Amino acid sequence: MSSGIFAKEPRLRPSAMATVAERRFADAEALSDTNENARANGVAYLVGFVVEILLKARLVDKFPQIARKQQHEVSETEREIWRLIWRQHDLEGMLERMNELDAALKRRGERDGKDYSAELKKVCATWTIQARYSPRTMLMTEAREWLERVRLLKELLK
Amino acid sequence: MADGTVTVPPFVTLLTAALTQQLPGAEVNTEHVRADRFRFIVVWDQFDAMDHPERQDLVWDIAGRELAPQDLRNVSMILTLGDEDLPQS
Repeated sequence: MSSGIFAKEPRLRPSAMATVAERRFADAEALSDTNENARANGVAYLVGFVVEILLKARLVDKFPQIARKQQHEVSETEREIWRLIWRQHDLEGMLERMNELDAALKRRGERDGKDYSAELKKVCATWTIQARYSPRTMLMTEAREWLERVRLLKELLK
Repeated sequence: MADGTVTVPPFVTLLTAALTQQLPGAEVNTEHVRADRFRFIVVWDQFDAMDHPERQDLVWDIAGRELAPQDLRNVSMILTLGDEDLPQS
């Protein structure tokens, strides 16, 4: 059995990250298809993870030099971005470093009559890595709502 | 102005007042994120009866009605917590 998935990727590539995001979204859909509330936390966790991967892919695309560095090579001014890419799960922090993404979502939203920027902020305000450890159980109806919101958002984030 | 002092833009005061008024009993706090961007934290006991998408739709509907588009962009997040989400003492 291969355990290669547990090895740290030495280099993150935005295109590969988008593919991974699609796979995790498909995982979330498979759990949603069970229609079991016991699987709802898994759906919600995975769709938030999809957003995290896609935001990180954009950060890597925007800061390729920093993303390629080893920790000991990172300067003080680069440290915050490097940590967002390699160490943290801070969706709000990532959004804060990509004003151009917010502006693009606004423009697209004006065209479509939807506030995609707010939709993304709604997901980012709610999802945290702490969902991994929560003993509470979400209902599948709520998890599906997140699933559908992210289904649209992920296309805009790629 | 002393170093480190943050001037609170009018949109922060406006949205805080709107949230407080339209969610009776809610406690609204704000945190400066960077530049003109602020994070809002709304604690309201009635959120306990709502799921998270409903909470977020509610507060962003208020923000969308009350703020100009350029100010909306400076709302970093609106965190929505019910009493049950707070650490129990």
